[in-house]
Amino acid sequence: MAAATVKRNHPIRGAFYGVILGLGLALMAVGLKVVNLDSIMPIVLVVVGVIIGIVWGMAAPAKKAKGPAPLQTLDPEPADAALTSSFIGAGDAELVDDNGDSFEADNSHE
Amino acid sequence: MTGRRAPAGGLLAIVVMTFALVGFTPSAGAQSDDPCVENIPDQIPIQDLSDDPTVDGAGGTLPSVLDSDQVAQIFAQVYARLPDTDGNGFPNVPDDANGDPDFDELDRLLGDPGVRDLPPGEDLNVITENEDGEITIIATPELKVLADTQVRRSGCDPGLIAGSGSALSGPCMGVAWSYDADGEPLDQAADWSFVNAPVDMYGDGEGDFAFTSDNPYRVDANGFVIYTGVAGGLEPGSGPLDHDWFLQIKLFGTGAELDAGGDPNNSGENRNAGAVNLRDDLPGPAKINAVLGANGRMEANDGFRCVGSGFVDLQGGLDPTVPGVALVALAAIGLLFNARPALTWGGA
Repeated sequence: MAAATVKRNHPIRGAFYGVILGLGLALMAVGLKVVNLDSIMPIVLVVVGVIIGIVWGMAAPAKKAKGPAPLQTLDPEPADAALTSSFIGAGDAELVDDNGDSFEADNSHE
Repeated sequence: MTGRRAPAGGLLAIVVMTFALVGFTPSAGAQSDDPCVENIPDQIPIQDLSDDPTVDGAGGTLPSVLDSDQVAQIFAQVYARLPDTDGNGFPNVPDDANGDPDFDELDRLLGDPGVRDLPPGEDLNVITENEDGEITIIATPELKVLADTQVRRSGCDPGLIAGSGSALSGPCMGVAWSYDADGEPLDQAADWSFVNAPVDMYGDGEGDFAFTSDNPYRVDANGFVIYTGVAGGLEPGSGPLDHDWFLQIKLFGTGAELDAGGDPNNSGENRNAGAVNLRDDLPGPAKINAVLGANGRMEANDGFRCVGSGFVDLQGGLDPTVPGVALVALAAIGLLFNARPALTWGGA
């Protein structure tokens, strides 16, 4: 059975970097004297940066999944059951320890 | 022979004088380019100028526009102490032993005008007489020409209130010279009219309204500003009594108070001159290259009110562009490599 990929968005990270982007743009605009410090434009630029960051974190082209697709794994619960049943199925055989003494199979671990 | 040569010499003299006075006089050419300089401002009754008494200035006895003699006499009080030997319209600043601007000496000279013993003499700007301890300062014709130009520009189209956030209305008028950290001229603005906004008197924006968002007043974060002005009236003792004032800086659309004060001014002092030492008095974190907005108001008895607002271009401090570029680069890296949606293996 082929493995599928799931897309994970990062709006929080996007907002974080958006704040940095907006602050940077605001500082550049103030330093270049494109905007005056008395206007609300620096704040607007920060807000715009946050919006850009959130949108980017949710709608930008997604990075490819890392590594090869994982192998199909069996469900561990049925596997245990199969092993258990096969182990129990071998109950007719005599179990002996290293000294050659027989003993009862202990299935309490189940 | 003599009788025939005299008319030729006289003709030559007339031709030379004509060229000198008309063709090659710089001011003649400048006047033709500047209609404000050509027109003598009209005096308009103060009551016809104030459109909005809650915003505009009011009170006092100053005329709508000062005349050249009045402005020259205000100038003379500064130039008597700080003569303009360069002829660039900027008072010379005293230097210390290292050749840097001497702010202590500047404060001493301007701190309390009128009580210093000025040496008698004459320079380009003033004639100072000291007879029997009585000091008289007289503006020279050269200084009156400078004042006349400022009056014509400042009073150009009286009643026109400038846009772009610049205003200085009311019975407060004056001039401010801005210098850089080395004491070199940086900017100059003057306001000799009741209603009009200050006018740029130096540099690229000369003749335009000063303190506007498009033409802010340039100030060096490590430089200084010399100012002089008159408030209330021209007559001695006609200054604002029991006045209160405040100065705000406008940040992100709101006002933050920078300074405030007041004084009974019982003597009715109407003139003031001084220097603002930005190098020592401006806090370090505030020394950033940016255009700042500011406004202020002074109110006193008898309906006296001066209102001003404008923009200042602060230079020579920290440039926020550099950290701005660094932050944008950091954000770009983070957005590209750490905030993009990611595909992960999972599901069937």
